[in-house]
Amino acid sequence: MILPPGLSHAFRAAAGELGYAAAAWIFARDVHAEAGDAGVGALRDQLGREYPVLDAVCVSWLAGIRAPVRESAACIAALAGCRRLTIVGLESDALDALLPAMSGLDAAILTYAPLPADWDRVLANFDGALSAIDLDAVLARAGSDSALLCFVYGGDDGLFAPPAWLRLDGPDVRAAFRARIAWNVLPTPFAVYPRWLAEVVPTSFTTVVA
Amino acid sequence: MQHTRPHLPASALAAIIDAAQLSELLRPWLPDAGERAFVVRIISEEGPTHHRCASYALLRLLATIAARTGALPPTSQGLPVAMRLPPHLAGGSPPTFPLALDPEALAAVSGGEAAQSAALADALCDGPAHHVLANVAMANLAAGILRALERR
Repeated sequence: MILPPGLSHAFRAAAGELGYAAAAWIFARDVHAEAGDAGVGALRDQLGREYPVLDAVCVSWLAGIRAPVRESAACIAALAGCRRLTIVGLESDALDALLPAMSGLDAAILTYAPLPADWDRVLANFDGALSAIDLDAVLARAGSDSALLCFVYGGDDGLFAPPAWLRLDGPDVRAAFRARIAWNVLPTPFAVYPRWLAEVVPTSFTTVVA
Repeated sequence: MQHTRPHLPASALAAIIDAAQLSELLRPWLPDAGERAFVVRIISEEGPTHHRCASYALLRLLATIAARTGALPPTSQGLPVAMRLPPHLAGGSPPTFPLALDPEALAAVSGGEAAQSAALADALCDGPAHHVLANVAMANLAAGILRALERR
């Protein structure tokens, strides 16, 4: 089965503005609706090596999992005492679960990302609950009531984060934020090389939630 | 040339640090568990291993003395300890660490002379965060011990 050639570009645009995992679940669902398991298999085969999160989501889909598990309670608990949150990586459905439950939280997302995005359009999805910052402004949000949240992926064989996290894993930033939380939105192992992501150790974070 | 003993492995030093003990000795200044965990993490996990271990040893030593003398809590509000931000973010009111510096620790050295106290505070609160917070925690413990001794 050959999927439409524009699908790769479409996924790239969607992943840039929704997040790798959020876009992958939509694509798996829609391709499955049109072409069944064979279509999801073809999606994995043709785009999986380029987009490893999409590959992992397709594996989950073919194993019968039809939606991500989004349990925000552990993340909310890890944010206790925090009034300011800086987010690394974008996963829109996770943020949809988190931000409405954290009223009064000053949340900003780092726009330093490997995929292009129209950030005005991204932020409009959150109805004022999220603002955007660049890398050089992260430390302006430091404080003992400030936290960093990074979306990560991966199973027991490794944890993978957006490359931006590596820019925030120095002693200057580590000592300026009360908590450094990883939210694993796809806790399954990668079957392909996790391109566009950087392997990180769990100790890079104060808390890892899934 | 004089030979020195080989250094112990870094892991041998790191293994000594008991974060729960650090947390307990900081409790009088940081009753909030989240704030305490933040400060403990910086002192025990940031900076060179030998420095983390040395800070731990000195803090435990002071805490032991404080326990034996019945160290008294501070009587005045602490001086805020600012986070050091890069130059392009300097200005305004910088964020502060949750641990404040006991001014009586400064007065014990300066005799209450303001310029000397300011210089001491500047020195104690400058440098890497792990250094700063270990300095402040030690100064606070020492101030509490002095108060207890003066009451005798």
